[in-house]
Amino acid sequence: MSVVLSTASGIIALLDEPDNDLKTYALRKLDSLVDQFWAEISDSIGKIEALYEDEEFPSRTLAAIVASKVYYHLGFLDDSLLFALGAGQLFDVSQRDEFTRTLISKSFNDYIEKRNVITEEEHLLKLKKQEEEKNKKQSIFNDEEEEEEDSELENMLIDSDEDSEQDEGLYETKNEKIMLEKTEIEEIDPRLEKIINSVFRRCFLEKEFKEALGIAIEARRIDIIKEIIEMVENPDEMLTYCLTISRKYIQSRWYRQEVLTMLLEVYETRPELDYINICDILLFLNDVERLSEILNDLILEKTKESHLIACQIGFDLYENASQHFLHELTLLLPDPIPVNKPVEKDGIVAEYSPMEQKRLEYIKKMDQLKSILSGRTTINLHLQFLNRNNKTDLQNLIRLKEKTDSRHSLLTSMIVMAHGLLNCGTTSDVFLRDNLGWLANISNWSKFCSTASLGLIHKGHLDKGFDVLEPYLPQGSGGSSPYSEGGSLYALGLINTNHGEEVTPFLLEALKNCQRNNIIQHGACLGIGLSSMAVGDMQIYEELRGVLYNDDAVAGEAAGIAMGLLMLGTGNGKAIQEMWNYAHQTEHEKIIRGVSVGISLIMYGKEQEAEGLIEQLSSDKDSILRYGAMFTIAMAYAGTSNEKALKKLLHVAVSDVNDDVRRAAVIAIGFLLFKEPKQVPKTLSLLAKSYNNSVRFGAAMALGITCAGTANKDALELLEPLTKDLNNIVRQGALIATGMVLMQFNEKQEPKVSKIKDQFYEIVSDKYEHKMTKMGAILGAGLIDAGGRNVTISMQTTTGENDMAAIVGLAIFSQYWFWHPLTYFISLAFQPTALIGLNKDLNMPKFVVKSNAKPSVFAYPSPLVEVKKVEKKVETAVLSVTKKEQRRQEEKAEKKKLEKDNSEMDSEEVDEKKKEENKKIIEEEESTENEKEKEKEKEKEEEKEKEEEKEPKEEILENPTRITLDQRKYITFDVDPRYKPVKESAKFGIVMLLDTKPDETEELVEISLDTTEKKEEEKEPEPPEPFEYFSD
Amino acid sequence: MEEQLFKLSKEFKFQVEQKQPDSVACKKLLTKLKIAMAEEGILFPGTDFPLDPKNIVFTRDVLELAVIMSVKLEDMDLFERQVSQVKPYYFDYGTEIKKSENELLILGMNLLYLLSLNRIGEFHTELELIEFESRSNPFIKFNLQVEELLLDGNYLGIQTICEKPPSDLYSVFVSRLKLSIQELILDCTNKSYKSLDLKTAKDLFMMESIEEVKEMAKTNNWRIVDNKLFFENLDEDEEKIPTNKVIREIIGYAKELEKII
Repeated sequence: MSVVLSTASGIIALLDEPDNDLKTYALRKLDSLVDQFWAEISDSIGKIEALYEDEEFPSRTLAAIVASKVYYHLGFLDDSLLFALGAGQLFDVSQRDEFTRTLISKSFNDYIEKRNVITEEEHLLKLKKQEEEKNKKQSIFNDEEEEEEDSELENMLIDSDEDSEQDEGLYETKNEKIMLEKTEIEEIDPRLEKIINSVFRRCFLEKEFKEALGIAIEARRIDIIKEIIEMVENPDEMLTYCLTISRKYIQSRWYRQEVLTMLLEVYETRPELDYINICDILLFLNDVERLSEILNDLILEKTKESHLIACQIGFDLYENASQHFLHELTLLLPDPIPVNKPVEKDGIVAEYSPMEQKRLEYIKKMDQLKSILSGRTTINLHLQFLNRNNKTDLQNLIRLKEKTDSRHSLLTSMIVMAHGLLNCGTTSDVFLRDNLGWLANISNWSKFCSTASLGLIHKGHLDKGFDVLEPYLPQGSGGSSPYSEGGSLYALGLINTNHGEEVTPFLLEALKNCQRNNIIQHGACLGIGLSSMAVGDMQIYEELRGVLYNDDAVAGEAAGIAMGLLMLGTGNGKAIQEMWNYAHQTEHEKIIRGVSVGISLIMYGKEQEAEGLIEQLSSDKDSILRYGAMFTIAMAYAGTSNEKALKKLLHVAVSDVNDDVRRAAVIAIGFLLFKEPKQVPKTLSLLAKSYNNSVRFGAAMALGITCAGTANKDALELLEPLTKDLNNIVRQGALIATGMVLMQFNEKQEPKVSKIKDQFYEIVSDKYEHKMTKMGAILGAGLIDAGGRNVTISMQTTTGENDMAAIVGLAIFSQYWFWHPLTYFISLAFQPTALIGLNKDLNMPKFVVKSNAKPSVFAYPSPLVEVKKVEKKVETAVLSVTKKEQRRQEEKAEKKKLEKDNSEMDSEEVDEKKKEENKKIIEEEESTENEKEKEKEKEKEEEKEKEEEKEPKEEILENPTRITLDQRKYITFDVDPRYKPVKESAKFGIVMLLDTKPDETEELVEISLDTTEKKEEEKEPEPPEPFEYFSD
Repeated sequence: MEEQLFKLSKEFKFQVEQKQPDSVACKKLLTKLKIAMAEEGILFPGTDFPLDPKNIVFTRDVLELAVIMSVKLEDMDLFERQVSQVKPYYFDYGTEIKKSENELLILGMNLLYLLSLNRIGEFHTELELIEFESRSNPFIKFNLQVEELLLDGNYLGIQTICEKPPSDLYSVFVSRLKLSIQELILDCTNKSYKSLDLKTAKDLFMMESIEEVKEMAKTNNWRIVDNKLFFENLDEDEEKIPTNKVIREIIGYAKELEKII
């Protein structure tokens, strides 16, 4: 006989028995039945808890485990864990059932949380103590005893810092001390600690080191991290892993520093010093002094490799470090005393002494390093790369241009803009030169734009920038139109973005001398903002403020943005206050907008510090300031994925009254989440279907910004319907965004590329399409192949840090909605996808790498197809017309003959006959043409097939080469017979190469930066022959 | 089964069947019995091994005796506990054994117990567990009648019906029921009348004498003037409407609405 219990009430009633044995008996029964009857037992949980708390009750742990299980079933994990801890041995960590697993993960979460709070508090206390000690030490001379106590305390603190957890005793004494100060730190339950430790041990036994490392890092157990690194078989790998995850995931600044310091210690004890990683850590620790020492040592060391490593570190530093840091570093590097030229004596050419030669070499190397750190080398190399590998398909643009009404100034200037984007940094301005006549029609702000586009084309051309712009720059004496003068100043800023030491004075001068011409002021302000980005110079600031206070809408807007750029990321309170005040005074919306964007730039990267300002701005009555608030969130929390900020943005995106604010909120989401591009489509999928046009536009923009150059499937799926949206502005945004997402992809990787390119063309050539949509299509076409197809848009550097210039550039780019010339700011986010190998003299030697993928996968999209199409169309047109004419002439001749021969024939009949003949002939012609085309297509297909069959599985690429984001994983360095990279992990960017055959002469890649002579002869279709028009 | 268990159970039965059972001895014996049964594994046995019907009957009988004992001792806590202990033997373990004669008596007492405490919800839950045919059994029927009258507010009816309970054991619960009814009436009169003359009060409260009313007045701090009873402690802590909070929230909603539209 077997029975299924329907209730546990009988057993529960036993708990009220006075006898302990009976209670224990009941508990044991309950423990076995709890999974079934937890609901019933939960009514009497109080009794069970009371039993657990009764110190005289013999089976307290049993009561605890029953209570824990009941709470687990009820979903009160906190209580459940508390009782499980009380259950001691009865809570068996090695069990694999769900209850145990859940509780263990819960205990980890709790532990991590508590450790975080405790370590944070400890850290604060430490800071406080240090400060107090400083103060005390100043007045220490009076009281010696106090000093002793102090030093004791200090020792203790240092000890407990080193192994805060291992030594419980010290930890407690420290706590006691803290208690004396009336600040309490919540202690971690030692039982919890025991469980955690036992789980760690189990991980070690099962060799799950990476998992354990992750938990240890999260739980801030530096002792365990160290233990793990020392324990594993391959510490180098573990070190690198630890370095990457601690950089990526540790939010707390000081803790990250602590972990990195520990890692640094470990690195330094390794037999082979890994300078590159060490310097990486030093950069994170902001330790300029040690970094400069290491660099100096590396240069002083004689081996070639060390010098190359120093250069490589220099390039990495330029990419990742802030301007300020680099500046400090350069100052700290020793300035070697120049060697005097040996005096010529008695006609004998004196030679340098060996000592001096050494010094000379050292000087040379040091100069090299400094120029690398200044960024000039990188910019120059990128410029050379972009110029050399320029694969712009001008036919595409010409095609679009032909379909654009030249009387329409908006679209014409868009074509010029698209051209600027296409040729950004390539210094190739063939198109502009070929179309000078057409450009001459452009006037007013379009002229401003087209002049500024020169700056885009010559971006990074630091040396020749001035020369190129010379004819347009303000000359002082009347000069040309203010629009081209203003545009050229803006262009100068674009060329010298972030490196404006040389041009800023000139721009300031131009600003002063322009006699308050607001157009020149506008250009000059933008130029100054770009060239002296994040410099924080108060003098320049005051100059710009002067322009702002003139209360001119056009100039004021630019001044507001420029002030933001100048003070970028400084959080300067005075500047914010002044700008905020002025935003409330002025009546010009443009100025308010410029200022509020400027404010947001000042708060770049400030995270929580910006909270107050955001609150203030987002509750303002003025919608433009609320708009600024959204951008402030975007800038302050860029790339952090901060949950609170995200919630706020989502709330505003659906609740604000003003469309601009809502749009800004959605775009800002993109800035927040750009480090997790895969998450963005999910987050935005609902917003992209919003009823509100602005929200849909914002969603499209945010997708474009975050998923640029990734061809993310989800993003494209969301964008596709938006490109066919009912609203023309939404279509515009979606087209631009699609262009961004598909950057650098060819048909083979993503079949949508050709489709979207055709769509761009169709939209532009469609008569009835709205001009706003056309504008989107033109810009999209410009972006998809931007920078000669050699750049991508990215807001993070290759190592995953925030790229400040890029983030700011995109933020200002998104203001193009109100002011088209700001479109150019997107160029700040262009990142050349290059692999550039350098030898010890920083020249590019002939060097090859292997890409283990079919060449066609990552090939540049072929430009020829389009060219053919155009030519063919023109040809056929010419053919039919001329032939028709010929036919007519023949007809005439025939007619005459006929008239002569058969004059009695009815003229009408003749006409009909002839018409029929004509038709036949034309049909024949057409059919032959069709056949020809078909044949051609067939041939093409066959060729393609052949190609596919023959296509090798790998490709040899020559230095310097384009390597797209997706291609990186296929790159190997094993093919070149001579050069080896210094940094193994580097598969892109600038790579220093070690010459294994230094005695042989080096072959260098030829570099020419001549912009004028490099005119590619494009085949233009012949104009049709003149003909006369006859009507039938 | 061990001899000792039988011996203990016999002794326990003997003790319980006394007219005035000895409280201390009985409880001691019961605990002893339970421990012995627990050790034997026959107190709420698990389902993992086959059960011996004999053991179940034995345990059930002991637990039934325990219920009767608790009624005789008028120990209500014990009663409730014992009833819930014996119930599995009626419903779960009881499916395969002969029904106990005392089953309906004990369940009926439990029902009345719940009624006397005004725990109507539980009363109905328990009632559902009892088979429908058993509702005509006097032990159960009595409770059904009482519940009906209680629902009608026919307190006089209850008083008459309670004069003839189906078992002597019921009298404990009947008197408790009366008390709780009295309380109900007191609660109501307190709010319905400002004053009452003592005689009416006596009838209304279903009390035996005016003296009793006077005593009641004393415990409740009611004044008696000229043979009249004055109720004074009217509840003053009426729930106030949280005006400010409501106003604030409504204005908040209005603002949000304005923003959306």
